[in-house]
Amino acid sequence: MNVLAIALNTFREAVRDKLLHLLLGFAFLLILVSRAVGWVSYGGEKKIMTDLGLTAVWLFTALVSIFIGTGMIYKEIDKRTLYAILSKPIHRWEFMLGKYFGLLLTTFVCWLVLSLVLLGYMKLMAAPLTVAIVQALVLTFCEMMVVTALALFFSSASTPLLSAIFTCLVFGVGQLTLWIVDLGFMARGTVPWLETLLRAGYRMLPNLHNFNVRQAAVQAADRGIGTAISAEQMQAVVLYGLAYTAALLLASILVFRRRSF
Amino acid sequence: MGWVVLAEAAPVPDWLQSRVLRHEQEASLETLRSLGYNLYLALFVLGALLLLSWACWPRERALTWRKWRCERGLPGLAGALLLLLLCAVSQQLTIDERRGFIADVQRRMEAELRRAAAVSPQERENIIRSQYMYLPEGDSLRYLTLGNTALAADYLWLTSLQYVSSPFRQQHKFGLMRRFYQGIMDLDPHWIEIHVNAGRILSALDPNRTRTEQFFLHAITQNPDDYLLPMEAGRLYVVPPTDPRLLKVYSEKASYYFEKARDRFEKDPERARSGAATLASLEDLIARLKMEAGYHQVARDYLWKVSQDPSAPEALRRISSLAWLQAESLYRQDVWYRLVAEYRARHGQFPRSLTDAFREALASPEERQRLPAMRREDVEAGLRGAPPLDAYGHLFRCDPAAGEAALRELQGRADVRDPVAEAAAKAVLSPGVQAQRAIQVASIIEAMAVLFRSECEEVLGVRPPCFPRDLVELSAFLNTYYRPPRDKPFTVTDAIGLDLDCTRNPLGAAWDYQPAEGRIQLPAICVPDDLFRNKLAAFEGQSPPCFKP
Repeated sequence: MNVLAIALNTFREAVRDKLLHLLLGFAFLLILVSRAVGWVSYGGEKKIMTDLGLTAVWLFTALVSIFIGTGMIYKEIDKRTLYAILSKPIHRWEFMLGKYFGLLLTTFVCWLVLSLVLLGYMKLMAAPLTVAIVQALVLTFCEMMVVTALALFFSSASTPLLSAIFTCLVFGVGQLTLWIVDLGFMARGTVPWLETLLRAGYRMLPNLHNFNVRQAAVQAADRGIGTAISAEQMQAVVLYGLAYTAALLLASILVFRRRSF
Repeated sequence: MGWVVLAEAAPVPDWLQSRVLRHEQEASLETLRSLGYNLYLALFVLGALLLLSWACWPRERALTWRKWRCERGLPGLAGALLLLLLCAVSQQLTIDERRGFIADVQRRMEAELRRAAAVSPQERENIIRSQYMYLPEGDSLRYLTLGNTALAADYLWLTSLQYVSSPFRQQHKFGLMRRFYQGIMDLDPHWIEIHVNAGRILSALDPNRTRTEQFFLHAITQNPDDYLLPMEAGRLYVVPPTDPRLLKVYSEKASYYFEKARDRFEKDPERARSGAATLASLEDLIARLKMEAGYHQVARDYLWKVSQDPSAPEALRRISSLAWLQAESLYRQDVWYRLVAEYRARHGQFPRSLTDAFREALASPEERQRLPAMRREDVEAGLRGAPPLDAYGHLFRCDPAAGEAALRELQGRADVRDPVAEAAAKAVLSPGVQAQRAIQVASIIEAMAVLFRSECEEVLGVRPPCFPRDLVELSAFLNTYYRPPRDKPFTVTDAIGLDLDCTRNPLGAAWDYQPAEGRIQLPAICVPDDLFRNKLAAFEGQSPPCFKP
């Protein structure tokens, strides 16, 4: 019950944030303009439109998670509202979980609104629309679960600026982990231990590229194939996301428990 | 009223209209420029006045300096701000003038190219080649876009479209565009539609089809299930080359790619079922290309299959059965060439009749195995001495003297691998095949006669438009008309040869040319009803006999 109350309060507070409205506005604009970009092209107009639309949903949902999430704990400390909350019979872990679910709810609402706008727009423009596109959108949300947990983790340990920088860095690296391992392989002749190190890093870092099936989804939709990835693969990716999110939340709780204000 | 009448009676010519329009546009631009300059000057004066007023305003003794500054400082601050803004604007204008906008850069480049062209073509070439661009590799864009390779591919494609039609590296665009398209393929290898479009653009930019073929090969390898890419690669070689000596190579390549497209198309049973008509027309195309490349047996098998295919459109079946007559005749001709050449190799002379060669081939069990499958009645007729027929129903001609003469000419030539086999092609003739060729050649010669009539005044000097007196005059005209830089069209060189000799007749005899009308009177064998009398039988699935019954 405490978790739910904090979550709902966090959601109400986040939804009033001007930054959220600004990001949503830009996302709408990008989705609408995507069709115009397709007009400039000779061939592949609908594919370009779908690519831009899916990327807009992914990017702006990520920005919402990062920029609202990284300032969340610090704002509570700065406004001194945290003392009022923690003086009540509320555990710190309940507070963290409530914050996470509140932020996740905010991200979910943004994601839902943008996805519905994108799907409606694609239907209007007669772009190919199959289950594959929905798969890509669902996995985008799973990715945001991890990113939100990441933002909260850094926010519980540091200032908003540093939290934002770290979150963005890990977010960026998480997209490229697939090619980071290749770097170690290419350097194995000169620096043999680098490959081992990078492989270890690959296992530890969040592999956010697992959730990126946008390209496959657009191709599948273009060819009229139902899905971008198989059900088993999707299940594995979602489970990975849930496990990593749980780990990050645990880490956030452990850090926050020891933090003094 | 008079003005209206005058205006309607004397319409303004186009060249004057465009000049007037350009003058009006320039005048309006000039007006805008002077307006902008006056506005700038007015704002500058205002800013200066405001600043001056703040500096010179008399200070009231009752107020302290600080209070006076706060209360009276606003106009001065506004004036200073205005002056600073104007300073920034003027600096920006200076930068723009020096650097120029993209459109100005292109205009300046075009002006420089025009100036260079007046000096020498090499100078113009040097300026074009000096243009360069830094293009990112596919991998770097992958990292920059955080793994959103589809978006990166879209960006590259849209950027490439700007450069296709721009004057950037005119006539030397192939390398530049190839870099773009290679990058797109690295980032999004399964974007079939754009790879097809990219291949078309590359083939339009460079007459060397082999380089575009490399691009298609790469795309085909990346997409093993797709049939559109091999089909597009095949289309690259369907258009005949300007040099007819390359026709066989081009036809082989085209048929190879179309066969690949056909195989991939058939892999999907649903698609094969619903696209039966597409499949049939593809097989018809493959057959014709195989025929051009010299694979007559394969061609006739394909054409027979299409003509008997109930799922193919009827019009296509009829056309295929007509083409089958030619392929079957060519195939039978190939068999006779081989038998005659082997007879010559064994006996030292060409056979007097084809029956001699046939009987000898049947006598040996090994030779009989090598002969194509024939109906029993055909074999019996051949052994009885019945003369052989081509698929059109005309008797094959065997002329040992022509064969011997050709052999004497070919022997000793380093470029001829098997002179006996090549000479056999002069000894044996299929009248049906030659007649069909004669119809094609005659139509080309008549078209050239019409060209002569329209161009003779300009090319040959003072002479009223008329048809050529004879075909020798026509040949001379064509050799003058098709001098470089004018290319000889493939249809013309394929029909009458690279030397543009119109007197050459596939039937062997001289053309019956009528100079009054510029037309050629074809012999009776070329009458379509007589030539294609077997087409209905072929359409109904009855192969014509190999020997006269």
